[in-house]
Amino acid sequence: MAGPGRVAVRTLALAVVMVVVAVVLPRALPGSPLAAGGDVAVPLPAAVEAELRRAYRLDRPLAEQLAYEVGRLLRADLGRSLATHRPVRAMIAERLPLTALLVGTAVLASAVLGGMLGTIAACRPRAATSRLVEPVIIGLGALPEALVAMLLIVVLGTRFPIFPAGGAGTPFLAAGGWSWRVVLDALWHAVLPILTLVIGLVPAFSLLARNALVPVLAAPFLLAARGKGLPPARVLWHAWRNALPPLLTLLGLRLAFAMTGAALVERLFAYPGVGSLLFEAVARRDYPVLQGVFLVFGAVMLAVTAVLDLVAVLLDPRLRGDRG
Amino acid sequence: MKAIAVILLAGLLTAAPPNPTPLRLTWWTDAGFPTPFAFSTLGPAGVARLTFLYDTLVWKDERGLIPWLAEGWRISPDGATYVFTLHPAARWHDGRPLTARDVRFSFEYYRRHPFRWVDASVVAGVEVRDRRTAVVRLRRPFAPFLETIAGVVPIIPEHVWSGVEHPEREGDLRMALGSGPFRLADYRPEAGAYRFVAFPDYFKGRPRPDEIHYTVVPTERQVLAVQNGQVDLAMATTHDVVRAFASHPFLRVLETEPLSIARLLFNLDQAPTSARPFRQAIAHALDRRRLAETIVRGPAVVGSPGVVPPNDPWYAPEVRDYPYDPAQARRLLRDAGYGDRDGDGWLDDRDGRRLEVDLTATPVRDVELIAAMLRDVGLEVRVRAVDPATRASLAAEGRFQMLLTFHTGSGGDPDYLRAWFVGRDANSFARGSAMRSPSYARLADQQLRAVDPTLRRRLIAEMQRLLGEELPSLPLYYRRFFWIYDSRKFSPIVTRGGLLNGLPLADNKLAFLPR
Amino acid sequence: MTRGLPPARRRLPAVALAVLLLIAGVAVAAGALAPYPPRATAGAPVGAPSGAHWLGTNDLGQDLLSQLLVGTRFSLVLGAAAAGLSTLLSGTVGVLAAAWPRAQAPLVALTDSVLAIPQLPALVLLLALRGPGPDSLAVGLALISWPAYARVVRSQARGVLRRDYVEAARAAGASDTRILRTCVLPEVLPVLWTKFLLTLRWTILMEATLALMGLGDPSAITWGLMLQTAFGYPLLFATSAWAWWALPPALAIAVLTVALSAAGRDFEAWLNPASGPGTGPGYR
Repeated sequence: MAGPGRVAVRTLALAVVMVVVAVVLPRALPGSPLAAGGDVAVPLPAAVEAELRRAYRLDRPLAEQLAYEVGRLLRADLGRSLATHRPVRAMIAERLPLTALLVGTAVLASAVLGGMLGTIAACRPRAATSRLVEPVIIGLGALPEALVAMLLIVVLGTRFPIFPAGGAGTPFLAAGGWSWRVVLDALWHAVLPILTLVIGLVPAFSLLARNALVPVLAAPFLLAARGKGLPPARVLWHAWRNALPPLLTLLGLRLAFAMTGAALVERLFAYPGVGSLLFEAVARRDYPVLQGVFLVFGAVMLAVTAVLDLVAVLLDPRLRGDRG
Repeated sequence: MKAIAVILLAGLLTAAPPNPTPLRLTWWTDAGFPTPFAFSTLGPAGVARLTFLYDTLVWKDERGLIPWLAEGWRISPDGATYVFTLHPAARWHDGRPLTARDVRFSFEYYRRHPFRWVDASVVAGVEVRDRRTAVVRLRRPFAPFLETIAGVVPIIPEHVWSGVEHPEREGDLRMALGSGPFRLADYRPEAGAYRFVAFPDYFKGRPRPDEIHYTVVPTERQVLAVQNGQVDLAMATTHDVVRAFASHPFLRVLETEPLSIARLLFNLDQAPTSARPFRQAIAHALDRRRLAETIVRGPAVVGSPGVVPPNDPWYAPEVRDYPYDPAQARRLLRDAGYGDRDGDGWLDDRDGRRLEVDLTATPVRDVELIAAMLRDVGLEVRVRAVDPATRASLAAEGRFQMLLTFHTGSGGDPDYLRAWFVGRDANSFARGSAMRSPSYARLADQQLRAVDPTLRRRLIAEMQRLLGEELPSLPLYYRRFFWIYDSRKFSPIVTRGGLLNGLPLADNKLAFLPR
Repeated sequence: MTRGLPPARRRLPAVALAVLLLIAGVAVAAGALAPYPPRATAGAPVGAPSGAHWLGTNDLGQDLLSQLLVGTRFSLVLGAAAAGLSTLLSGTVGVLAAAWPRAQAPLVALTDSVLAIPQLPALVLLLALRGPGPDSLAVGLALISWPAYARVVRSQARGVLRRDYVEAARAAGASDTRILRTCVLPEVLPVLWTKFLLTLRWTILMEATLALMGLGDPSAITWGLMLQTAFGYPLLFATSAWAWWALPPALAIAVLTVALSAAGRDFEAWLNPASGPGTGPGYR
């Protein structure tokens, strides 16, 4: 089978698996959206409970719910939240840009920063920067994200409140219309969460860049180039071109993982992204929202892996035909 | 690098508080869109937020019930009819007057689209006698009516909701139109942020401040946030904050009544918890004072087996107590047939099998102390740690032996002794942990109809006595909420019996009105 | 064997290994080293460090030094169980997919599906499904962390199976199990060791992360849970409590994970100096 076709079939099959998982898994959880463990002893009035049960088809068998949800998904309808009764699509749409801002900036910044540090380490392994900076970066990257986040919140957000410790923006600043202040305010609020993500991501990029460059720098063609008297910058440029593909692969994978991995960071910073929506939905057993978030995360993963696979297939003719 | 510098600079500009006037209050989750149909029912924040926008017929201050939308009321001798006289100046945020027709509409609309917090179906109908007089007829005499329904159910405008078929789906700001001291100027659901602005023509006087913001601050950061001046009100549940802020120049701590109760529920359908001596042995085995003082980190209100807290006006001192007495616990267990037959230090049943009892709880610190105290009397405890939603459904399905739960409501009208222990609500909260005795159910019904306060007091006391004898659940301790606030900005008040009914919240709207 | 690496890096594994051995020693001897039973109420609640309690006491009056020492064992045992199970899964699935043509398609599909399911959400759901407990935590962590290395093992095993001497052995009548045992296993084992070390590091981080989110197993004593209870103390940063309550477990986690990733990375570099660390799925 030709490479791209294979990728398409695989992606489609995975998409089907994902839809079933997204619909069934939330409903398999213990607990019910109608008794979600709030701290009040008197449950929802009987009439309210009956109405919700009927309106959200919680009284139907699982297979029927699955069929109904799939039918609705085919019409690109994600349904309404059981907790807020708002359309799930709107709830995700207002949060997705925030998650994208966090993750996109963090991954890009880490790639650039890590690439720079890795290059220095590869070219000058004995320089003070490589010998001092690298262990520090690796040490910081080895800390649990949650801990890094909490320390940043406490030190930079509370003790010395240079940055806001939570939220995605000063409340109601945008009420007066969009302006440069609103944009900067949003960036300002994203600094600490992005920093948390970057601290976790930089070591991988720096190591990758270094290890991709070291063998290339020693490769015969570069030795030849150096021998011909090519300036060091040009040599580095050639080395980089050869080291780029693995870096791009890591970039894509990290992007996909970080989308879901940012959930924790979002939660700790009370940052209203898709990840914190997931936590809220789990606590409330809000099936439609859980389903929607799962599908969005799954779609991102699928898209990234499919693109990476395609790029790999197209770049490397050896991978066409029987591969994997 | 340059870009970072620009951002830093700009941040310094924007990070300065843009406008010091709004009062900044907090909660740790979104509370939903503030209408009676879409607010969040997970926790008390949603229903509390409604009280800024909407009014109820009566309200509560530090001393108890006070007139509100209703200037006055008369109760028929049988307790089934209430005649409310509305305040002449009450009006909706759009300037239209609030009349008896709106009162009638509200209760009729709630019959089709129920209010999500309390069941108001005891209201049979409302008759409009004139613009200012509404006659509310109940299906039967209902003693807690004023505090649990008239003081809780928001009156909604007929001209907004009339003809709306799916009120829970309405999310337009214009739909959150009420008669309360504040209007909803903005709501950001993803951030859980609310902007309330004062309604200058409010019938109780012009509210202060002009603007109130609610934002989300995670529980673990609440105290830090108020300490740093990022918000003006924060909540803690341990007493050590009282000491920590005792000498602070302007941060004060408000202690609510002990309205949150920690209870150990027993399953009466399963051995061994079905045996009363077993439950009583557990009560003697637990040093509830040490438990409470460790958890609260300060003076604590120890649980009364009769459920009503000792400082409450409805408390009955004659309730049987179970003092901490491990020897008595062992005696009771031995009499129930449990003894250490193989000498391993653990109690065994008559067939020589080790006695094990399940304790279902969310991961809280109490569990470790409770399990240790029970192990001290030879009882092997298997802890099942679950998340709150799982605990709720295990309780509702009766799939537990002992279950630790924390909830608000141990204050205000004592009708909770009925709701928590008999009937549908009790069972959908914790199946198997309700009162079985017909006499208790009879008392629960009688107190509901008891118009005479002295009679009701006697009935409520008898209910507490029965609860203490039977021990379907063991109240471990009561919690106060500690609200740390900026005294330069406002002074929250302690509502008698809790905000609405039994909620340990500090943001009573009276704090923002001329008094 | 450490081609392309500066000499300084060659010493790192020795240091890392020494640190790992020390931590393992503490884990084994924790019971004897701990001055108090870790759950006993040994002092006043939230007590600052003193002669009797070198690291102070927590909110229940439990000795923090004892908890830190005993926590080493819980953290390591839980991590090792999860990492072991995960490694076993990677190895089994990878080798089977390579050696057993019929199983290939379904196993590859399974690997890809699990790889495509978002990790953290899946873990949160899994834990909600089974309830936090040491066993469900270990199983959950193993279930989501095996696929990446299953792919690596599979491609490596396929390479081995195509070699001439394997063909020859097969022609000579060697059984499948024999070929797997004598030819494939020795080649795959080093990869699995790397995988084990890196997954151990990852599970310890995840345990701490989940504990911090309130999804840990409250019946155990782990560094993550120590951190969580510390962060539950509202005055942690208003007083000096953070320095003796939150900092020690945080440092312990950092030291252990740095040592593990150094050891694992060195292993990976030693195996495959050309590709180097970080390129493989080692970071999962």
